[in-house]
Amino acid sequence: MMGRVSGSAEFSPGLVRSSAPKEIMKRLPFRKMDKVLLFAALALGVFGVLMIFSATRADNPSTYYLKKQLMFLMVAMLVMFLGAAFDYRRIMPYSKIIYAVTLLLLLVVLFFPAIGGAHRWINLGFFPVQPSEIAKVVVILVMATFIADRHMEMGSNKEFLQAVCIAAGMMFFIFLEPDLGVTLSVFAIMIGMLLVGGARLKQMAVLMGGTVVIVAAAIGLKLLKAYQITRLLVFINPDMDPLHSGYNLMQSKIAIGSGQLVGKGLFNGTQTNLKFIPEHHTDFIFSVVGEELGFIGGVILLALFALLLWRALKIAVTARDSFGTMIATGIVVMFFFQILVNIGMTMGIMPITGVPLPFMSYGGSSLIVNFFCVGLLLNIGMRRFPQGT
Amino acid sequence: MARRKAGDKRLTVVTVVLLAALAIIAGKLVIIQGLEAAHYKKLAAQQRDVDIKVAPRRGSITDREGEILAISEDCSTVYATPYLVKNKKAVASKLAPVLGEDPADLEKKLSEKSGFVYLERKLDKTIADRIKKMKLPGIGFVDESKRFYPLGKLASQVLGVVDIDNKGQAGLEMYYNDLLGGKPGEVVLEKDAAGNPIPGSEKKQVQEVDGTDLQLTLDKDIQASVEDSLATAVDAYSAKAGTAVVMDCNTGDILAMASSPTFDPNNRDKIDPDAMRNRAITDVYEPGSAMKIVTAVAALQEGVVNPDTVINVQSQLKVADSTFKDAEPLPTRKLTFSQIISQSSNVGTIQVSQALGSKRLDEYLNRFGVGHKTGVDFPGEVGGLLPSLSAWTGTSCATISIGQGVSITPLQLACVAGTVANGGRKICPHFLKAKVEGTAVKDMGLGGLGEEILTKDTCTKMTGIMEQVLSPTGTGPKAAVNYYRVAGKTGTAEKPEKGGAGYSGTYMATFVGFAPAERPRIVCMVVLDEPTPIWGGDTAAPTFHDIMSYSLQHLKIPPSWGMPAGAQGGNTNGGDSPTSD
Repeated sequence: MMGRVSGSAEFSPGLVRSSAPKEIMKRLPFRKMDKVLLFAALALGVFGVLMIFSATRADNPSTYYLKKQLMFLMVAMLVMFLGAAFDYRRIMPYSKIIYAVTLLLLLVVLFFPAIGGAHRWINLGFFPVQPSEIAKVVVILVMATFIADRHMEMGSNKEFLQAVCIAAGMMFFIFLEPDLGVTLSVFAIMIGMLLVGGARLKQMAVLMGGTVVIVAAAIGLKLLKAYQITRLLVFINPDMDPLHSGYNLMQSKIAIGSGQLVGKGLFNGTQTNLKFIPEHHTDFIFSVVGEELGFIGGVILLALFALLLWRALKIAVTARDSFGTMIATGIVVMFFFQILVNIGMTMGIMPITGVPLPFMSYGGSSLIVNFFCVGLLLNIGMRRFPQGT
Repeated sequence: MARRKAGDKRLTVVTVVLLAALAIIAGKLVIIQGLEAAHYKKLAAQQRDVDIKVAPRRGSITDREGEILAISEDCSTVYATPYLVKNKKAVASKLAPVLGEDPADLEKKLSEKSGFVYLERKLDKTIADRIKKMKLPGIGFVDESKRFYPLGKLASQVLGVVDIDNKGQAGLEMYYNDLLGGKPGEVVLEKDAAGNPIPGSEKKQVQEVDGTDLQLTLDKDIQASVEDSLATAVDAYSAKAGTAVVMDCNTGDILAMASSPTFDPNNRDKIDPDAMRNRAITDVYEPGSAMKIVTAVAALQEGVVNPDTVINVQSQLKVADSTFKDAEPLPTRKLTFSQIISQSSNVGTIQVSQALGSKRLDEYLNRFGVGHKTGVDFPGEVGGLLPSLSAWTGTSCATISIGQGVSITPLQLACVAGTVANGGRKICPHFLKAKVEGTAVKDMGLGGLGEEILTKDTCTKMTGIMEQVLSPTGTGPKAAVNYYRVAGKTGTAEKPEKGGAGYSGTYMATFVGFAPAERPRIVCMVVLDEPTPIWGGDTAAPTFHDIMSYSLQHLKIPPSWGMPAGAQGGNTNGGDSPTSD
């Protein structure tokens, strides 16, 4: 068991570094790659580009978002390849450095000008980077390292608390931006990884209790913005105010509902084209799917997500080491949480929190990070057998 | 390994949670897109679609020869979508000279915070085309139509007017609005979340149906002549107002109907509501002596008198508690019944009516439809006022027999004369001749003659008496027309005090008659309101003469004598009447 878990010992970096690219390709276990997972991810990415184009055709120029998202998709696929190319176990030694750099980025972003009331982007000139998106995958990697180092046995309260602190540190800075959606995503990732990583149920109960106290205190101290509280209230009763805070939700439901079984046809969504749906190419992209492709389109999308999550879970179960299991678990939880919250919010079963739909919502950082995660999953999946056999 | 197994177990839990969540999402999808889909579809349509009515072309109105009296002309309404107008100052200064408006005002309109603002409604097509050629962004056009009356004031009270939305508001435009107006079409336009219409999203839901063209019984030449004569008369006799009707006595076709004062329907800004009244149909008055036609035909048909029956006419006559005299004081004298009517003796007529009796007089008044609407195709017709027999007082029979205490419309009186003219049949007066649909003319078969209420014999006798009215010894020689035998009756009635009993000292002058007497074709009626002199024979009769002579010639009706073709059996007799005393 010991040998299995401490993967770094089996790995010889020098071998890979000295080889020519062709050799790498030959030696890399790409033929053991999970092609179903790859298909699901690519299908989702293309689906997303199509829906974004449909949602933004009325803009000027009409292909602005299409071109950008296509470019992001190509970069993302390259990043996915990179995420799969090296042995994932090589990350473990660098986890502390990665964590520190990410925290720094989260700190730096606070000094960049606010866009729409939030400091979320570091503008590199050609491409605005969203550190909080990167933070999600970093939390997964660092927590996975921490949990794998303890052989998925976090018996002591100290270790449990340390693991919580890894995520909480990130969450603190992300919440300062503020970005409630990512904060909640990280929280979900943390809960999922702690559960699978061996935390005791009693510890989890204390954690949940503590969270409730902190959230209550945050509301009490007015740390939540007024609009965030309003959104939560509107979630409880969306019809109370359909033209203001509940407007988004109502319009989204109208779009999805009026799509009926087969939808109004791609590019023919009136709610979408007439701009009744707010943020139709980002947070409410699912409303566009529902309106234009109907129930059938919605179910196909859900099926693609289910396929992706199923293969990811399979990788988590069959990974050769705890590190791989934990990474895959974190990624599954992250995708799952975002899918659930995003689609849920477009139909009024989740509050509107600004969580993008993985692979579908417009946005470079999110897309690239998601494909990097897919790359990691492929990485773990194809290295589930000892090399060379 | 145990922990690892526990981890696997928990992964299974994650899987189950995950599947449950996906199931919940799919379930919600079924609810929204399946069970509640209709509701959301309706909501989507409600906030997206704008229904726009498309006005159909309004039918035109022509006279009996097809001459256009009212037509809808294409015009354009110019509007702006302010946020699409980038350089407001430049656009305003370009449009200002074409629209004839102040550039500053236009710029203000172009700067309004709205998706739509009218720049000018119902603009002439040529001007709109000039603006269209400028190709200004944000400036749009709506095709509309504007009602135009090519002959201006001609028959304006009869034709009526339409409102800004081309809906009939008065006259025939109102009466036949459903026919003329057609059925509006419907276009559904999509609007975006900001409320802006989406170009190219128009979908025609209902095809508009253009209005029907109507052909009237009016003859524009006779109408013009009548209006001219009436205006001259109102001016010459300083009358307050006047009205005249020319009607075909054998069909009920109204050939002309005019009222003075009149108005210009193409200049709607300054219309006096008084000038819009079609007095021949909507106003009632006490006809005075002209009503003696009814008394006379009743007495003739009931055998009470004959035209040559000699009656000892009193100087004055006491009926119940009233004393009746003739217009000018005359001694007791012997007059034939024919002379009583042609000289319009009140006392003589009352003496005859006493012999006739209230019951029979009332019966004939009712036969002629006094107090009832004629059913003419015109809005706002009034029926006049005839007291019911049970309400008649001791003097009622006497006063009503000479046209007092009873009120009728000029059109009703024309119908009374027309019935005598056509041999005793009731007349259904009407304006609509035919519907024109494409090239097909569909005769509406309106009007014509109704039930026979007088015998031919009565009518012949009465016509003879009425011809005597135009003799030099009668009250209306000034109505006589050269070469034609004309029958008629004068009337000079004191107007009742407004809203009370008694009389006001002002008069209504009437002349009603028909020609040619031997084979009547047209009936004409002229009423002047407060002319000077007051007498029907001095004011209404000459006006009647002008109208009748023009109408007879215009309709190419053969003269009664002097031309072999038009020679009739009785023409020698009649030929004497205008010249002999």
